[in-house]
Amino acid sequence: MATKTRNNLPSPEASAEVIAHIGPGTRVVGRVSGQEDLRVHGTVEGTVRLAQTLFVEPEGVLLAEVFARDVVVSGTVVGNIHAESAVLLTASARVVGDIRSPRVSVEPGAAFRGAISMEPVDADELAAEATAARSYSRSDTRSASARGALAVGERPVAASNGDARRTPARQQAVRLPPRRAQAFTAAAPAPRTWTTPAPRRFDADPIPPIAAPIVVVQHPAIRSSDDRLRRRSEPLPAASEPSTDAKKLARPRTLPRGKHKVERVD
Amino acid sequence: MATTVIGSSIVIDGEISGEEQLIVHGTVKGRIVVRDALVVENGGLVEATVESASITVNGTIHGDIAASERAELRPSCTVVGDIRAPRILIADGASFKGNVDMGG
Repeated sequence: MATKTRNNLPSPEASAEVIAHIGPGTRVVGRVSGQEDLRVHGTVEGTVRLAQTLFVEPEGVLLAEVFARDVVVSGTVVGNIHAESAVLLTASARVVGDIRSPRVSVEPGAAFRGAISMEPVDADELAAEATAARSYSRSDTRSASARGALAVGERPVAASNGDARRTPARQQAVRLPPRRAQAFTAAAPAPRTWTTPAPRRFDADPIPPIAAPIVVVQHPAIRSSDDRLRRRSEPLPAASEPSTDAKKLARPRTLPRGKHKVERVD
Repeated sequence: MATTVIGSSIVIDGEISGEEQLIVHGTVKGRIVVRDALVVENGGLVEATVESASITVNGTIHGDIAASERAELRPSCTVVGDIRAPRILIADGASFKGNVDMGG
């Protein structure tokens, strides 16, 4: 009652029936706005904008950002309160959030955690709201445009990357004589021989005798591990072809050297 | 006091759910789910999907209506949408466009 004279607020008991109110068993999720008083006995989640007084009754729960002329809290409010005129936290109030209002009164017994700013709400608050709204809309448009840009941009980038990855491969493939490429793709174990230096030595030494390396290879194979056996035996099926093919085999061995050099330069 | 009253200048954009009577003088957009009665008063505007036990419309509803008991369209009302209710009363003068499903 003292608040009525001091804060010029209507007391919570005033104007009981006609006022819009949200009952204790009702839950509203979304945006609530209006030009009249509103009493909340139930639950409201979202945003509340009132040109008049908002009452949060003792059983009322407000999980919302509140913009109103006056706010009288007897219940629970989680969220920021912006009041053009005054905010009253009664003894039963439980509030978590920031309060922005030129007049704020907290009765003994009220629970409150947050910041209070009593600077006038008018100009800067509206400006902040406006900028917030703008930035929100902008961020939305940006994000949408960004998504669009990304959606449009990613593909060419990815495609260019893919092309960039593919084109050197194609160029490399083009550099290779087609027969060799086919021969190496056809012979699955052949690429292994590229990386391993061992076959170069052996094939570089005994090019003319094709049958002889079979014998020679078997001897160290008996001594060494199975890996060497495989490596030395791998070029053999390619080498078992006529000697012209053996010359072809010699070329790719020079190519990987060039490749390695290029990679080193890069 | 086990009622909820949405005043004539109140606009709610979202969802209202509750166990008690809901009286709408203002505007509700979105969705209404009420276990008890819903009354849309003269001047009230509901652009929402409505589920309720019984629905009385004096104002305007744009949206589908589902009532578990009955739906009553008073003379001054305007309803655009489908109505599903076991009992439906449409008064002379009521404006209605939509389908009626009485569960038969």
